[in-house]
Amino acid sequence: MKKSLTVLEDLQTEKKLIFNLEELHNFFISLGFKIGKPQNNPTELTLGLQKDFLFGYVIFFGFGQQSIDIWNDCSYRIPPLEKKDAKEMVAQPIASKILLDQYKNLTPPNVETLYKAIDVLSKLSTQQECIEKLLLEEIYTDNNDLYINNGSLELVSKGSSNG
Amino acid sequence: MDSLDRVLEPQSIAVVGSKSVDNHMWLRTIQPFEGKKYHVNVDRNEWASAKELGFDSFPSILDVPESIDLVIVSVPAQIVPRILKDCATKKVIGVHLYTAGFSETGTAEGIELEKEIERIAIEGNLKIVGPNCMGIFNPKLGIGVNLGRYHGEYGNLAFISQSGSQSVAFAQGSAFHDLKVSKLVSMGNGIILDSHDYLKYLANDDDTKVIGMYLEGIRSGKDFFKQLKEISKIKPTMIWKVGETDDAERAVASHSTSKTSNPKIWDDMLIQCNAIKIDNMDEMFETAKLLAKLDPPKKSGYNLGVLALSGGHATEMANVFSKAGFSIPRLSEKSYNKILTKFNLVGSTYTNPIEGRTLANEDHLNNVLDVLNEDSNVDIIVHEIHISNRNDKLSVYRGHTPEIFCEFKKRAKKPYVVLISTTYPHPSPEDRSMVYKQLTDAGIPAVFGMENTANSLRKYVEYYQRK
Repeated sequence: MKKSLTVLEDLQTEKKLIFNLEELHNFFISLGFKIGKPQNNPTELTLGLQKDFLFGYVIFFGFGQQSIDIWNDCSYRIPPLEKKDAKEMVAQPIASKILLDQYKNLTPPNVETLYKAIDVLSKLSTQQECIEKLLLEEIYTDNNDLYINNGSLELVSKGSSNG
Repeated sequence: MDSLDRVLEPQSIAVVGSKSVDNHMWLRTIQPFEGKKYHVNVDRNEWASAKELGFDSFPSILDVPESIDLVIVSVPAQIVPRILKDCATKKVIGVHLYTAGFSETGTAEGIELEKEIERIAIEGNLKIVGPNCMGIFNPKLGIGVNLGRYHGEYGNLAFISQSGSQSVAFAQGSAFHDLKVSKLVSMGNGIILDSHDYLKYLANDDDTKVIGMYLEGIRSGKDFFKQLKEISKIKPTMIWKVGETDDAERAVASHSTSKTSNPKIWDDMLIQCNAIKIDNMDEMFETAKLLAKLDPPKKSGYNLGVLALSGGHATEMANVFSKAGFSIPRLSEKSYNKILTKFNLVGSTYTNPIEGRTLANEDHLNNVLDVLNEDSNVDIIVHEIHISNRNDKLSVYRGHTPEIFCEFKKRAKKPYVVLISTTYPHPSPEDRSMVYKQLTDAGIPAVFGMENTANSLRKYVEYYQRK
């Protein structure tokens, strides 16, 4: 986590607030992700961290950005989170009832690896305040490994009182 | 004693108000209160009428000879700062500001005046209930009796509301449902005491077992989240929040200037806290009945033993309750064998749901109830009744009167819920009230309507499952 915070500090020195995947390789690697998509026909997942004006940071989880945008099929939790919270938030989306088990030829996600990713975001939320929104839009698990194939980061603008 | 105890359970109260404005409404609302009570008004012409109501009068708070826990203020908004300064000098603990005309008006003057009274309250260490609210209803102590119209008797249900009219409706509805409140607070603009402060107080209030809240918005999300999470571990807390659509959000902003979060984030926050989401007042009462009157289910709570009015009702109940997430399982072979010792198969079914003509026989009905009571496949017994009266003969189930259910309740080993059918023909209000009272006096939660029962029962079960 210390390395991630250092990378964040570096990003803050740049004259921009929004960063794409290519610009964030170091950051995602520091969070424990591999870049790309594994070859096991994996299930697409989305995780994120955003600031809510009432509750401060909230973490969200769903099965791909489309299911979140179209069906609002996701779960939100207010960090810091315990493993019990992570389990509940992963189990909550309607898609979880199907996609956590074998569905067609998709490889179901490794939930323990997913819980670890949620724990990483939970810890990140408590150790900095510069993130406005971190979107891990397209992530996958392959056994114990986490992959990210699309994501972005928005930093809090200087002078913003949000949060 | 915590300072909020002295606000919600005061030993002395002063009312600053005028007969010419509200006919001494706020004196009347604490008339049954047996602690020390005073009337404060500079106009000595009003003192005689206050004396008739049992109040000694004084020209100012500072002239009251003894200490004061709670001051109720019903004066024009412009005078409030002066009254609060007197309260601070007198070292009053709490102030209920009935007065409106502050930030809720949306005017620069109102917003500025609210900031001024907030500053005076903080500097004077005054716990403010309000402004712009109906304040405190404590039926045990006889405070705020204009809200609930009862006192002396009290229950174990607390209610905190940002709306005065919802508070009054809830207080009076609580009597209708025979639940009765322990404490009720109409909190208005909540400039000092906010929703999380009341939650913190209620967590340690021995008179309160179940909590309900009507919210339009909250000021401090983090404090609210923290208190809600804590209190839900020990007391079921039902949250009814409006402002869930764009139109509703606009209405909320105009009523109480509240800002609201993304409804999905709010709903998931409730799940994370194990708070109970409620969508209307009836749902709150029906759910509160189950939470207040039933012990936690010993097993999962999702497996029901169902006694229905008829074959058609049995199929409807199976549909409604299974859609709500319940199971209506087969009973054990031992249970079936025991049922069939006292059961006429003609016109009746016994597999679960159970119904039929045979249950007009008291011995047969008691046998079925006792089987459901013992069968380990059943966590909760739901018994549907319909109140009817033909030729002055009351019937609630196959010709039986409520006594048979009240007797069973005494020997019930698992949660026993009566579903009062709202099918046609409707009973007279008198018969409905009489039966309802008989059941509730026996400690049986009686819920009106099939969907309501399934919905409320699910909320009760989910609360204990997640706890």
